[in-house]
Amino acid sequence: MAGSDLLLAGLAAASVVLIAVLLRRPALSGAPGARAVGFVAFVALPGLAFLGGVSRHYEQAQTTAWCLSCHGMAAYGESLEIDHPAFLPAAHVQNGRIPAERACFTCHANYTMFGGFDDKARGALHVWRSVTGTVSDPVRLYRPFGNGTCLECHRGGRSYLESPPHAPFLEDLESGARTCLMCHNLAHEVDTLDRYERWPARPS
Amino acid sequence: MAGPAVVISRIRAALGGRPKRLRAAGALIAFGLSVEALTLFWNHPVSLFSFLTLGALPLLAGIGLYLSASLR
Repeated sequence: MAGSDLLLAGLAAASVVLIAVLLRRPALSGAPGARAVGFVAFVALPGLAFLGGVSRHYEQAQTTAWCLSCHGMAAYGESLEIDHPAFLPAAHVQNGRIPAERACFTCHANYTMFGGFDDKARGALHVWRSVTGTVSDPVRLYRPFGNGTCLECHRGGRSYLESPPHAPFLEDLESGARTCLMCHNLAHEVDTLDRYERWPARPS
Repeated sequence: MAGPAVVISRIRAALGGRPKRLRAAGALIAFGLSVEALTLFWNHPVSLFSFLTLGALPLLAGIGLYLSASLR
């Protein structure tokens, strides 16, 4: 259990205990400072616990385990284990280019000011579809995978700029006229995973 | 069919005076906090939904009820 969870549990417990004391002893409501204690018990502590919970859930919702906990995502998790250097997700995870524990979010996040919240709002729709059994088969992105996500890390990188195949297309890649996936086209490929070996050394 | 004003007045009547409203606020907050605590142990999208609906809504309703009771 993380320290932040303990802190949240402590806030919640303190709030519940204070509320119980205040409600069981109405006489206390006349005591000096009772209003302030009431405000702390009924508003401040629960409010802090709520904000902490939002933050904790938001953080949790960015983990690979969270994304893969839905049945429809299992094959996508498997695609991270493929032993093939051209498999984009697998190569990124296995070579530590993206953090394995936040693999989905790192590549499918919208890197704008409120992009993270936008992603989670769309994620809420995913959950709804998962719960109601209306997930599309195969799973499709709402819009084409943009270069912005790739360039968030690769923009300005020497290996990206000096790669001979990239040289003629740098402007097009920046403007989106040409997409990264036109050449790097082995993404999750969930329908053909059986054809590939798994990387046996992948830590669980 | 009862209009919104009638429904609101019935809810107010059901909640009764200030002590009853405070008890209701306390119960809602305690329930919301308990749900929140439970959801923290479950790393799953449904846990987030449970937190936002079963946890956050009663919690915020309880805080609102307390504030409305205190301001009167």
